[in-house]
Amino acid sequence: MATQYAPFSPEHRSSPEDQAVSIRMMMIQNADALFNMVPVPAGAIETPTEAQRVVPRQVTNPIVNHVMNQPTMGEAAQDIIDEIYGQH
Amino acid sequence: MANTKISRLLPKLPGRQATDDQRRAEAYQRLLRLEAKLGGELFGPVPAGRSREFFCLDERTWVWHESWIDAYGNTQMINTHYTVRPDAVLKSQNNQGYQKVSADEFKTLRQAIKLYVQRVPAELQRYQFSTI
Repeated sequence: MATQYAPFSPEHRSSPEDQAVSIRMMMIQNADALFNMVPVPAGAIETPTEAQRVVPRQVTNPIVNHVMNQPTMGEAAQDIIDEIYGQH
Repeated sequence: MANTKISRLLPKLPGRQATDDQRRAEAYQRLLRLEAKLGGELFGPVPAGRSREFFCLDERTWVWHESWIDAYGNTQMINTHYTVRPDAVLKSQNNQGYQKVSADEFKTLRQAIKLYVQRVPAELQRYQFSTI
């Protein structure tokens, strides 16, 4: 029996290039969700609606929750940036 | 080896051959470059002689890269990471340590991310790898 993958998951699309697109799209979506969980610093609140964001949201997305519990990339991120832009 | 570090960002998929992994890593890097270019255009026209890029490196890291030629003909560049943590957004420039972003910068970054999320995924879906 063929393995069933969730729609839009990296495994669902056929080619490696399509998988890369799916991964990037999920990563952007997760990054946006994570950013929206950060309490807005005093002085950056513009409207009453935004004031609600001072309290971190309850996020039920398991991927987001998993990422939030991981250590930061730190030097690993710098290595990857160096790879993209070259060593300076 | 090229893409060794990029591959750290990619999930391991079951049953894939090494060649597929390499293609995926190369495609991923191309997409990052495309995103960086598109992201750099979100802030309006870039002055002549400057290069500006902005992109989502991973779920918790946003990168701003700007380079230019100074009055002495030397290439200058600023590499800025924004690391998103549960309690704050931290900023590091040219790998010189982290500090919390100011309220104004937080506001600008949030606006940039909002625009990025609105525009970039559509471009990724339209991207034609075969034309490169």
